[in-house]
Amino acid sequence: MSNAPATAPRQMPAPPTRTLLWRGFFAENPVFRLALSLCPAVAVTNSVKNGLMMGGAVLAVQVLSSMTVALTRAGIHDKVRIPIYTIIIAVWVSVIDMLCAAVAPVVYAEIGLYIKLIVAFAIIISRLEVFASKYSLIPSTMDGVGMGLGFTFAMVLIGALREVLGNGSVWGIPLVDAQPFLLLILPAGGFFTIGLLMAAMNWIDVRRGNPLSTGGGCH
Amino acid sequence: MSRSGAVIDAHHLEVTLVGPGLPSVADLRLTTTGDPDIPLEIAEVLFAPEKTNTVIVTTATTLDTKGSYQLFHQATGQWYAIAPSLIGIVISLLLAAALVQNFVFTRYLGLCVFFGVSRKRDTAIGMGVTFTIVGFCSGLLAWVLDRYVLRPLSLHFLEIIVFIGVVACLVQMTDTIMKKLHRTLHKKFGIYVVLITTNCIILAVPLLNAMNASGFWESLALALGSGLGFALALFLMSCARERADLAPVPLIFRGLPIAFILAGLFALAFLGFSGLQV
Amino acid sequence: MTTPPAVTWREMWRITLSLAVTCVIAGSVLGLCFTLTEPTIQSHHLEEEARMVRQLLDLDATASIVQVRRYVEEGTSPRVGYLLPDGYHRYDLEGRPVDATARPETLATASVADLDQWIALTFPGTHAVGRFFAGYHADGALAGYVTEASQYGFKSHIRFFVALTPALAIRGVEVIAHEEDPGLGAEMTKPFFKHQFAGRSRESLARLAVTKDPLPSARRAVVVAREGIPYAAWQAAYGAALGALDRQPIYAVTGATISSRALTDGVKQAVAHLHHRLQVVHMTAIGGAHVPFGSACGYFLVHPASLGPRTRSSPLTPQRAKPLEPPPQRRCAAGPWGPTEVSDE
Repeated sequence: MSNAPATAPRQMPAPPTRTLLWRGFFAENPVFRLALSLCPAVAVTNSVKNGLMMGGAVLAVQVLSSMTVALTRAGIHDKVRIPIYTIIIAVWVSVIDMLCAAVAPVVYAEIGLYIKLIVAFAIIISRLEVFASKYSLIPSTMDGVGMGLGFTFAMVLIGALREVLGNGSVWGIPLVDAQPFLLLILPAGGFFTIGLLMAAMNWIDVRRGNPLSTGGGCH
Repeated sequence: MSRSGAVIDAHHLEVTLVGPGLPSVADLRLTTTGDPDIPLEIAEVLFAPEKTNTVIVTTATTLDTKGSYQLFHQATGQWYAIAPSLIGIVISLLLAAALVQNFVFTRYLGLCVFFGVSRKRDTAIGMGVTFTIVGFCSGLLAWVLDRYVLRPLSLHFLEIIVFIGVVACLVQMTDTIMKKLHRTLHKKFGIYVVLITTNCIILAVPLLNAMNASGFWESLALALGSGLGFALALFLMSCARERADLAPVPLIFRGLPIAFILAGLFALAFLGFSGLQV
Repeated sequence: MTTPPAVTWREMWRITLSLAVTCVIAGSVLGLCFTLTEPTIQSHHLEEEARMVRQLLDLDATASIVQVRRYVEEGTSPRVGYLLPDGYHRYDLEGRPVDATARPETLATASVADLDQWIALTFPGTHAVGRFFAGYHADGALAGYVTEASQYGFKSHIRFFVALTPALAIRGVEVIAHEEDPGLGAEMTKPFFKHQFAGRSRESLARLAVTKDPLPSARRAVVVAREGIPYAAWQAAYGAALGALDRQPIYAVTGATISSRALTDGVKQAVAHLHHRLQVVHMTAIGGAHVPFGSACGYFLVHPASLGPRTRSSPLTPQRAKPLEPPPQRRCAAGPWGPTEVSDE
């Protein structure tokens, strides 16, 4: 405990809270920009409700894990930090999994497997490694909230597009008595929606005159 | 009761009897294994051509070629089990896991790694092979732990932490063993072994097995089928992406967006496999 | 690949200790969370099931629902067992009663898992294979049955409930779980398909066919009207239109004929099986004589008044506080047995 005091000199000043909260939405969106945590983004987003629940679960796991790591980082041995981060994430995922099953059994029946699989998300452990292990509680929490909100935003956006266009409804309430583009709620629809949204984000970038970051990808 | 017959088609099944003689229709009682109290209607019983002691039973009720049935011969008090062969079951489960329920295109799992390493055909093959082998081992190991430790002690709430531990240990072990035994192999495949931890398919397989309380052969088929399905998806995708790199793709679609559109097209094509029955 | 610097013993101990401590903390946190959430998850599950059964049978909160579980005992002389409110009854394959074992007092309020375990321990080689529910009005009259079944659809098994009147006409069909493709096979869960079964008699099911023709708009209007209203009200409103039901086939979901056919076959089979089994269960109750299904005297009848300590009195239903007159000639209501699983809430 003594070899890494909380005010370690190596610590860089944390970015302002505003940046921490907002960068997850556009500049570093986990789904559209970093292409991380894609599995649920395609799998559970055929309705807004599922997307929101999944986003909320990821947000909770991200924030709780970031907070745990930020609080205990002095005590975590550097050589085994990755296994310990994994255990911390697995614990929070299990807790959230049980809570979801208890609170919202109907939605859970549909997306239960994907909530359990949050444990394998690269985005969460990378935030722990890159941010929470270096900064104190408040900025780490904000960083977690920002990334979680960015993910939730992406999930709800994809979910809304697919539900409105594919099923003609929002939040399960039918708008029109038809299914305009059945394709979008089919398995393939998630891929198409994300591909088009990524292209749209690139288009906005080009219009703003930013250099286009082709590729991305996790590795 | 060992297997002594098979369903031929929707109205016929073949059974090898213990003794000679043709049983009468009234002497036989045919039921499904799940509903032994509800007899199915038998239309006639005939000797099978060119086989000793084997009869063909014709039923009035429609039979399921993948179902399991039991036949009771009242005169001899003998039970006969009629079921598809084990190899047949495993193969059909394997194909279901690899094609019908392909983990990438219909269950949308393992997408991070899928989009990350599908740029070049070589890397795709390397990842596919490595993943299939490690995924198979971890699936079986996790099944053993689930069946003989977690389930008897009702510790299933620890499944996430235990399964990820199994995967992490196995990946670390494979890496170390490969490094010590075969340096060239490690140079070629080492990087993929490390990447396996971030592939959620490897975690989804034991979770699905635990959720469905699968038996040994089902788990084996799912573990192998998921790996083969992932390898197939990766290979197909890498071929398509190598071509897309040469094509005049609009600027804003270059890179990942076009990869997603391609994956969507593959997913549509894989929709054609659903309903495939072996 | 450079070799990592040698790890000292001291450091190794620290690493081992920190990992062990993390694991112990993780295990205890999860254990605690599990014990806190598990009862809620279980009761949610039961409530959801009871709610669905109650909705399918148009029952109110004063009604009681009995779950009858079915078991198969393997071996040289296989048995079929039914867990009824008063105990476990075994029959041979022809439906002749073999014996009955009273449920121990200690298991009066046991969960389904505990009861399954009790049966598996008492009769080795026995496992649960199915179940059905019977719903009763507050006055003890049989409201109907709900049977659970599954059938292989297009991609995997479709699990569904079929609700029936006491005379075994179909009240409704509800798909509980399926993995059919959204927009295609999954459309069978929509009112325009699932309510096509409503109103059909058991006898007419044998001749029921599936057609690929589009659903005629007149028939569609009748079918869709079933959603959200009680069965009796629907029959009263569309009785004239229902008269010709026997000649109406099941109109398959467009692009999902296999799923539609699978569900239709499953429903037919489920009703036939329930019919067969009700004869077995009733036969014993009245000493071998067949009882018409409309009879209020089911062997497994449980009256709300006989539910004992499990019955929660609700301020909205004060009439439940005073014991109700038990209907005549009911052998089972005398016992202290609660409902097998789903009690009224």
